[in-house]
Amino acid sequence: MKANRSLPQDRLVDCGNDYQPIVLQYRSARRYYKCKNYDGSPGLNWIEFCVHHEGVLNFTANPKELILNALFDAVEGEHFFPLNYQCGSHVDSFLVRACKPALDKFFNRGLSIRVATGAEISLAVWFNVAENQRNQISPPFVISQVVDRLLGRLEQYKGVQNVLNLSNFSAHPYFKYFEARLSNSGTFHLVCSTINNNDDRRRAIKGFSLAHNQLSDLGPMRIFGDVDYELLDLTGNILSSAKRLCSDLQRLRAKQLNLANNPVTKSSKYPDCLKPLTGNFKIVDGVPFDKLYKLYTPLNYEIDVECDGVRIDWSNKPKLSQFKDSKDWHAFLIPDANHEFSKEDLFNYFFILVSPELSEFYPCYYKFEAGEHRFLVRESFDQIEHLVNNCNLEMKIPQLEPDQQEFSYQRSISYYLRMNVSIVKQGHVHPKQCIEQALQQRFNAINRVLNLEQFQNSEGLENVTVCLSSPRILNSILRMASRKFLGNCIDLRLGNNKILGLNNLRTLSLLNGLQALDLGQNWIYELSQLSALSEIPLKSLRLHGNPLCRKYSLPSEYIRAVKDICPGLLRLDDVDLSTKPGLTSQKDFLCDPAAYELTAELFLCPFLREFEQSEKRINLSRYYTKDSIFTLTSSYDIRRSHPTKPTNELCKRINKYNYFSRNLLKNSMDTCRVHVGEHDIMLVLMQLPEVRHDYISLQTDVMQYDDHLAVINVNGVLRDEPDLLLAFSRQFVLRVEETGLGIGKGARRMRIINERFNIMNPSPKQLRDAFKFVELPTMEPESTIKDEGSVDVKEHKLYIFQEITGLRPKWCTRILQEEANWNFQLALEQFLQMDKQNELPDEAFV
Amino acid sequence: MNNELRAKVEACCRTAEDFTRLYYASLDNRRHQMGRLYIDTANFSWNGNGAQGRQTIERYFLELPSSRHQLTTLDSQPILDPAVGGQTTYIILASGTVKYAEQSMRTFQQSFVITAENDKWKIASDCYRLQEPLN
Repeated sequence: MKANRSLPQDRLVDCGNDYQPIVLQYRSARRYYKCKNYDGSPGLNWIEFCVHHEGVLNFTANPKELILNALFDAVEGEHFFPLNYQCGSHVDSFLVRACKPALDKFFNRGLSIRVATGAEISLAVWFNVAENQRNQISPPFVISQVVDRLLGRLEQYKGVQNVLNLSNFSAHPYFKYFEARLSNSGTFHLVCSTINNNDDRRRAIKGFSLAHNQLSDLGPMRIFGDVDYELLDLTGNILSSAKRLCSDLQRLRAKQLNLANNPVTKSSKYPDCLKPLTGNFKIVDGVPFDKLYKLYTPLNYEIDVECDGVRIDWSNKPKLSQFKDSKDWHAFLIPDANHEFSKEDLFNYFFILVSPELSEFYPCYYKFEAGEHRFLVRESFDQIEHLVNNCNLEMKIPQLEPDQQEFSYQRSISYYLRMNVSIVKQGHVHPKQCIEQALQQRFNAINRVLNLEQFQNSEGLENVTVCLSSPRILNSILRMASRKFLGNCIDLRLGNNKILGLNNLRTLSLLNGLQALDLGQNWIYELSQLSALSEIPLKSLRLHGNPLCRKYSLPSEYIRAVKDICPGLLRLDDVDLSTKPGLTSQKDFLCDPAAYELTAELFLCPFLREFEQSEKRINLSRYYTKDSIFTLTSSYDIRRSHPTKPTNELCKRINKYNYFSRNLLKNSMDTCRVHVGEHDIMLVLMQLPEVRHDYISLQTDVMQYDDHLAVINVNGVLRDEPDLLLAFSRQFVLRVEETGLGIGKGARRMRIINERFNIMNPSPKQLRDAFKFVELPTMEPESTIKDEGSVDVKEHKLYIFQEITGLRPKWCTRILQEEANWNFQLALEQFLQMDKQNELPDEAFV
Repeated sequence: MNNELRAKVEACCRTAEDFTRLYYASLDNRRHQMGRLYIDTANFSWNGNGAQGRQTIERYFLELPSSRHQLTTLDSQPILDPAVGGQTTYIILASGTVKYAEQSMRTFQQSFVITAENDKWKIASDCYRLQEPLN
């Protein structure tokens, strides 16, 4: 579509003093908008682009960048150098020329571009807005000039001589009048080929800096392959595809590669995704390429324990002394042909003989290879000397002999060392630094908790074994923590660290704000190992899971013993010491929350209510089968209630229970008072007096509740009417006869398999409280007999009627209400009759 | 009652006596061994405080003050139902008096469901109630 409406003002575009200005005249210009073709050829004259963003990008941080990136995306690597880019509130504009391939791409897309935010933006293109003249600016020429100039001025950059510095290329002052972006691969190609064509200077280049160029594609760099450079700095670009990166850099070689601040380094696959570049680059972001991997160990790559270093074993122990001042790595090699011991076992055993008095010992780079546990150590010569000379290069294996409480140390394993296997190189671990970083990470400044639980699992300690069972190391770490956090730390968690004790620790007192200490799941055998805690005003302490806890069979003894050390303690093992832990009684226990229904309307309450009066009690027979078993025990002691002279009447009343009472302690093989089957059971139940239960007094324990069985215990107070208060308990084993009943399909029909009934003297408290409280309305026996005509009942009937018949609600109401007047039986009969006589149309059913 | 059932009831009586003797001796004197009287997944309620699993139950006992239990009543029944899967299972009720540490004497009652596991009687569920709470 060609459109020439009201023409814009002619204007002059200034390109600096070196170039002739461009004079824009729209008289002979042709405008294209929302179209896919143009007439003739674009020619060599200037073309103006108008980007009709209509302000949709105004809220973004850098609309111009977004638009330029979209334009460069659209031209797919063709040359395209926007000149005199002008930002407007609705329309941005710029000039280009001599870019037919790029132009064709825009027209192919219907003069529309899509920016990264997802917005589609239309372009208007004016052909022939200004004549191309000699001495006008030519962006490709300027770029080549700039590159040539930079080639003549190679820099020292990040310690490397002769680096071609193309970092932040677009900000170059010569690009004041047009946009030169290496993120446009056309521009990048131009730059690279300019360098490549400059044979003299190209050879001097020792490295490239391409930092901060929004690069996502390094394809143009391929032409620099097969040369050994010192540096390739790609910091701060938007390289995100590891696959593309690896293929673009496939033939590029440099000692150092800088990749920091690119999305690719943040991906979960980094650094493994760079594996194809192994061999191309020695150091990545300052770290040797191999050491980018967390499991890297110089034992895999740098050190050959077969030939490196000097072997020390039992035969040449005196030779050790020559390494006294060595700063190098020494290897420990502990044979274990069958890999009997895990890494954890190994260090557990190894540290038994590491001296608590001598310097800290940090095994690094542990690995198991060729039937040996291997690790490296530095700068702990006194420990090494101790292990060689005092412990004879033997590791003791503790064994628990059968029938013995103590460990024996009969077994031991001989091992050997290789001294000076490697000097310390850049990128090797420094245990203390790793520990310090891990400490920092484990501190939460908001809630002031230093959480060192399972400290070995901290990030950054993959290659260092920090054995907190060594008092020296624990001490050192706590001293480091104390110095770092001082009074800021109020809660220190040291759980699960194999800690043996906290003795001789003045270090903790620097943490003068400390209120809570967690030492749970450690290896503390004696409270005496914690005497240092007496100096800290702890409010909470956790020791649970330490062997010392097993020494106290009673909580009170344990608490007393701990309080001897920490008198101010308010909580021990998460238990508030001001209450009696676990001793307060709870009203109900449900093994499964769903069992609540069992204690309420599903079984217990109706059962007890029906039991109260003889005339209703007879109905309980429905709960029993011919195999049900019932027994009764009477633990009522008449002398306890009436120590002086029990009345005849009381004896009579209690005897009603005693008559059926079964007590194996008095009559050990009593089979007579076991009542089996609903007939026998009802015979007993009907002879028992009428009672009222105090429902408020009931304590219920549901011990089992699943698809087959339920076990319920209830106890409380009942009144043998009219005035004898008894404590009682009942135990039921119920079988789930049918499930999926009732409105919610969740109800069950229960039958009693076993039932036990026990009466006792009420306690003084039970006597005091019995029937004192108003019963809950739902507990009122009257409330169960619902008014037949109430709305609730009607709804219920409607629901069930609908379930049975499958009729639509309208038809249910019609039959139930109009035909049967809410008589359910009648309604069902009516339904069957209507169905039989085909009086129900199809639409009556759901 | 037929002879078969009678035999079962009698076996149940014997077990109840033996088992409770062992149980209360352990509870009063050897708390650290209580765990072995329970199946791995046993349910336990002590005055409505629940504990599940052998180890937790044992821990719970270790938290309690020392005790002296005296039984006055004992009753037991076999559970004769396909629902227990043919495994011999009994319910037991024991009640009596108990003295916790220096506290006064209280009445308690306890009901068990015990089941035979590898020729040993183990508790599947255990419900203990004091008539008056501890101080």
